[in-house]
Amino acid sequence: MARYFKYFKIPFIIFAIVVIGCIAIRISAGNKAPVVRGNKVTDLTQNVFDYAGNLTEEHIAELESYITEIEDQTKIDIAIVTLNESLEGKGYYGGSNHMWVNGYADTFADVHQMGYEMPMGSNVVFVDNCYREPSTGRVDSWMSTYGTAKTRISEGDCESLMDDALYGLNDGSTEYDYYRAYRRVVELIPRYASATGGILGFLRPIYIFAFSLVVAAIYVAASWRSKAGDKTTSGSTYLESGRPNMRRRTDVFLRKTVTKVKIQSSSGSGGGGGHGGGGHSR
Amino acid sequence: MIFRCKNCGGNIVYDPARKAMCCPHCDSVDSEEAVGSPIMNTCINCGAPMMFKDHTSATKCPNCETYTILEERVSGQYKPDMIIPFKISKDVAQGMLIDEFGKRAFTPTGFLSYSSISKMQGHYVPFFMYDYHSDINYHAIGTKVRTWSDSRYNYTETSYYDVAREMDGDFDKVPVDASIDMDDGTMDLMEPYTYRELEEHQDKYLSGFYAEKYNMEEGELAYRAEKKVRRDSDELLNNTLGGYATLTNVNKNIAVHKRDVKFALLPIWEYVFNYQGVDYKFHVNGQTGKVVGKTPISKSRVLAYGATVFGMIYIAGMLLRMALMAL
Repeated sequence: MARYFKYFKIPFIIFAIVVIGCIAIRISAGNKAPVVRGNKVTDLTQNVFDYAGNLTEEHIAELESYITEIEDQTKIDIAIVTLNESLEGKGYYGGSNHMWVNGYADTFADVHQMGYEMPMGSNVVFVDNCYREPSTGRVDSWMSTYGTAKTRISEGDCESLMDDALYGLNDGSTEYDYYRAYRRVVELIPRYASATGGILGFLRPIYIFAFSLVVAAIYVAASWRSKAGDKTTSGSTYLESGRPNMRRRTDVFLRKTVTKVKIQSSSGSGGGGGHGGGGHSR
Repeated sequence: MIFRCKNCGGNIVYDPARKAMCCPHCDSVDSEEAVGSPIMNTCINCGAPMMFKDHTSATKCPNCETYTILEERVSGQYKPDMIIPFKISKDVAQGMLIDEFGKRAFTPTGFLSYSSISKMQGHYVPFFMYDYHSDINYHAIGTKVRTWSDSRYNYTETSYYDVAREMDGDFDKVPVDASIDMDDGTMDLMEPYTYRELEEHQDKYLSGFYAEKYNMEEGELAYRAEKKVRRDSDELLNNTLGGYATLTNVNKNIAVHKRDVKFALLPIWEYVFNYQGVDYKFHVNGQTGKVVGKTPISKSRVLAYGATVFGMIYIAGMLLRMALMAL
């Protein structure tokens, strides 16, 4: 046992520091001034815009209530929008349904001045366009994020959130399936939306598990030395004078060849805009 | 033959730390007298029967622990031309083993305990030392490559050279162990020794240690020395060929021939640790202190320590996640 603690003295000290640090973070988080609703412009009473008619009145009411609860928990304004129409030629940027849904979601947030703490504040707009694009045969969804929600929920988070929530939705979906899927979208937002932004995306339990496994494997591999020893002689170790007698050493230039290859130009890509988010196809 | 103390009658041994013959009983220095015996297989000191292995030339009486040297196995054809006396004492060698292996996490319990490590023994291992002459002739076509770019093209310039090398060298005292019991690879790893401390053989250096006469002939071992000389010659040649991107050999010839061979005894400390029925051997060069050996692995330690690392990181990660989620 003494030997065990001899090898793990420093790791245990680091471990204790991490534990104390985590406790300190939790305590300080409890003392922080709370964020309050401050958006007096937008209509905060409606959160579900079921233009596609995927939900019953009862489900909409339940979803509205649940969203209000999650908004207060996460301090993020949340909207669920369902569509069943082609958005082509309606002024949204891009050349595919996927991009049009993205544009629709961003515009929706802007038009409704969404935000929890203020107009154009922290918001998440989830748009599920059930229209099946003929060219791709797919249905596209988009989750648009803005304000602190953009930094707290990364693009990858949006995609994995929708992968999880919309898994199993297809043509044969019932009203209950849609309700369950949209409720799951709302339910998952707090799990991803911490004030630490994308860090939590890397601190998912499965990632922590895998990282711990990899580090433990590296530790074992590094400690598992199977080599008996190193060769410590060189070519000149047994040479009488320490160096060979060089009778001839010539490097005569013969010829040279030059080849040239045209450089392929690559096109650049632009980016920007105020909204973040990610998409999903099914 | 044994070396007996003129002052107290005790067995005098060679002390590497003091570089002298010392009596461990009365602490006398250089007070030895050689005492021979006409009776084979009997301890000169206590008369107890002794069993000698076929190649043993120095050993210890299991009864009175007197170090005995078999004269007929260190004289005549078996008389070593040279010897490097032990320079590192047993205590220092044990310390070197602990320094080398003490920090390895997965070694089993008792691996470096005093009771185990005190069984370490000093051995004089028989070596043949070969002198070789090496003649190297080399001819190749080499290329050097230069690349650069402008706004439209990447350019590659390849220059061709006629490369020639003619060199030779004398390799002195390339060691090859002449012991069947010693692992060849391990003995090669014990190199190099510092040859300026080579001395003319004296029997007194064997007192206090185990030793063997050579038990393989120099002729049958010459191939190993030749292999080393060819390897070293190749390395010396390669050292002169830097800067080329490619070398296409036209002619490469390394000719070696043996000039001389000597028989020598070289010092090695040996520690044997038995773990789960397998003997793990560790060696310390008795002159330079170089340590060679492959440690046994305790599977239970691998599991326990690996699980500890995994558990600490996993728990720390989950705690960090919970703390950050609270923000």
